Amino acid sequence: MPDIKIIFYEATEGTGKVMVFWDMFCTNVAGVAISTFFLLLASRLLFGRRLHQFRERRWTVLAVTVLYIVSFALVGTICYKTGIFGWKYRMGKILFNYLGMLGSACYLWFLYGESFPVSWVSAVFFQMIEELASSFSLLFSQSGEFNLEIFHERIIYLFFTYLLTPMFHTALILAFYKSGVGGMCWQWVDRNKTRLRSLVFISMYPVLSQILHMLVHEGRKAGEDNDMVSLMFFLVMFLVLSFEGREELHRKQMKVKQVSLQQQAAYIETLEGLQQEMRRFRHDYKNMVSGMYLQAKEGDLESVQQFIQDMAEDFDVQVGGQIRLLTQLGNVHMLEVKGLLLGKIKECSGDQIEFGLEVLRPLEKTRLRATDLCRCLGILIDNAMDEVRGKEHPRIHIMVSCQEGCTTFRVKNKLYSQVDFHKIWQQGYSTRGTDRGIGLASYRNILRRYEDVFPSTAIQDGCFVQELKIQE
Amino acid sequence: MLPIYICEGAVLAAQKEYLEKQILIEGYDMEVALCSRHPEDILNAVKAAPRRGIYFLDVELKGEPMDGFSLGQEIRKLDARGFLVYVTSFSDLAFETFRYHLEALDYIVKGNPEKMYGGIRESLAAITERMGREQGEQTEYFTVKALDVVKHIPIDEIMFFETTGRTHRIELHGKYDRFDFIGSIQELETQLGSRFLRVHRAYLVNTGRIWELDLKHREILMENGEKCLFSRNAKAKLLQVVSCL
Repeated sequence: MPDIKIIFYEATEGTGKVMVFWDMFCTNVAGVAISTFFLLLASRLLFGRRLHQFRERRWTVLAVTVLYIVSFALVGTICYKTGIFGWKYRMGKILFNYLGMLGSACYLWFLYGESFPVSWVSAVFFQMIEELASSFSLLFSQSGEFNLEIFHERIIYLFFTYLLTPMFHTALILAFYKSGVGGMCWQWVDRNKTRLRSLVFISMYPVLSQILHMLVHEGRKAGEDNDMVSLMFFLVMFLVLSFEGREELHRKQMKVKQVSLQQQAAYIETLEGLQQEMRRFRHDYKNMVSGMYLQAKEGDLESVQQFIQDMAEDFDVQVGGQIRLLTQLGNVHMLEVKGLLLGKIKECSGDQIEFGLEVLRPLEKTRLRATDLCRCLGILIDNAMDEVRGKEHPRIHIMVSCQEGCTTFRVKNKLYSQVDFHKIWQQGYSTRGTDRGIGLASYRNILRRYEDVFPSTAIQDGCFVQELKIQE
Repeated sequence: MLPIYICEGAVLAAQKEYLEKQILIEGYDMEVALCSRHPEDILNAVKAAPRRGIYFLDVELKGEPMDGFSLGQEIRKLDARGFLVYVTSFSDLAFETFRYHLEALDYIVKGNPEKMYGGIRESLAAITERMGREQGEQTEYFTVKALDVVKHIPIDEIMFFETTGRTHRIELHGKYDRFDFIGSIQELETQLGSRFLRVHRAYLVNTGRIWELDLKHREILMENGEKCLFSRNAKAKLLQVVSCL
């Protein structure tokens, strides 16, 4: 634990005079006791629950805690005395860290009854927090070295070790708690897939931190700039970006779900409508069949034929308009576009506009980014709807055609008024009065970003036809 | 004599019989060349004797490698000006798509024989009518391929061509059309001849559609109200052209 580390350092580097075994052991016990207190606090907050069977095991827990503190301090002192910390490449320190973390893991495992990997990861994590806290507090000291022989310096040292560090420690733990790290940890723990990999990575912490430490040290020697700073920054950026990316992915998935829900709702609505139609049809059908029976009995073959024909047609007309639309929509595999079309279909049915849709071949993807494509299509469809709304037999027709190497979107509506054909491209021009007509101008603006799109506008047979071709 | 090809899964004989009867009654200059349920047979026959024909095609060709739409595409490659009529048992055919890509003439729903025969009669009449109209027609067309479709625009309705910011991209400004296609303005200049004048680096103008010249701002106002620029060099030539009109 870092408190011990600091003591060792100062003891050796500061004075050059070696402390006696007993003194050191006592100091270590105090230090470890504080760390343990924070370990308990942090684990309580991050695990978000009380100790496992605390009431029944009150005395056992207390005994184990004392045992943990004492043995930890003892091992630390022994390690120091035998000179392990002087080993090359800080091997001794790393070894000691692992020992310490193992101890904490066992301790946590005993306290909370979590599985061992979880306890292990938590131990490593608390170790990190602790080291971070002590490094933070040491930032405020001038040299980071204290001569414990001198009373004045010893006071400062004690201030740093037992006051400032704990303050930082508390602040850090609270910060983690408030930012909901505990909850995220649990998410991670619950997800089994990546656990092993992350477990190995996290377990490497003492080694990696030492390597980093050395790198920072070396880097500082080279000059004012330190590569490590940028590297760290890069790492943080990487983490933030990957986190954000995941968030975005999540949002997209939500959107996908929303669209599919919308679609299901539409299907259900259609099916309900169909059921109604069927019921009506069945009612009529009974009457008609009894009529036909009479005609057949009288040998009126012509009437019977007529009847069968009418019935077949009726069926086609009455049952199925909506179904046809949804069949076509089923060929649109780009969810964003599907969602847009579904929304427009709904809007149209609200405005009593007949909505025609043809998608002969499945639409998988286009070169246009889905958002841009949706904006473009939205503008074209909105324009078409605005033109026919409230007119006689309002109808718009949309064709999506995917041929080899080329995708065409075509929106068609009947023209009820004379349009000054060339003016529709101007910003602010509209047949529907002022404050409209920014649509087509921004449509052009979006398309300007792409190389392989071919917009086209035409008036054909009294219809206004907007076309967007995309070369794939 | 226009050859008629029928490609359909069922009711071949009745349809053929009816067609032949109808041709006789109306005295059309047509004959049923081939009836088959296999698209390959039709394609081979058209390949063997390439000329303008009439095609009655089933949309759903069960058990065949291609459907009616693909067959139509193949036929279009061999016979660009033929008449395609689709026969289907569903009334929810994506006919706009067929018309857009294949210039299909019409479609017939075959569920009801009365209606189907009526559809056949109408189609034959429409074809005859269109053939007659084409013979008397004088309109010249500008034909250009816009990705997967070919567009025909009457030359008289074109105002000007404009180069856009993108490479090899030309925008056609017409009376009823405005669209992008890939081409070069130099090639268009030579292809279209004297009726069009290159008045600016970016503009090739149909001189017959010029309404007004604004010499001060060096702008040309076209008949449809659109404006384009002209360069200093083109001024003399423009004035000459306009005074001739």
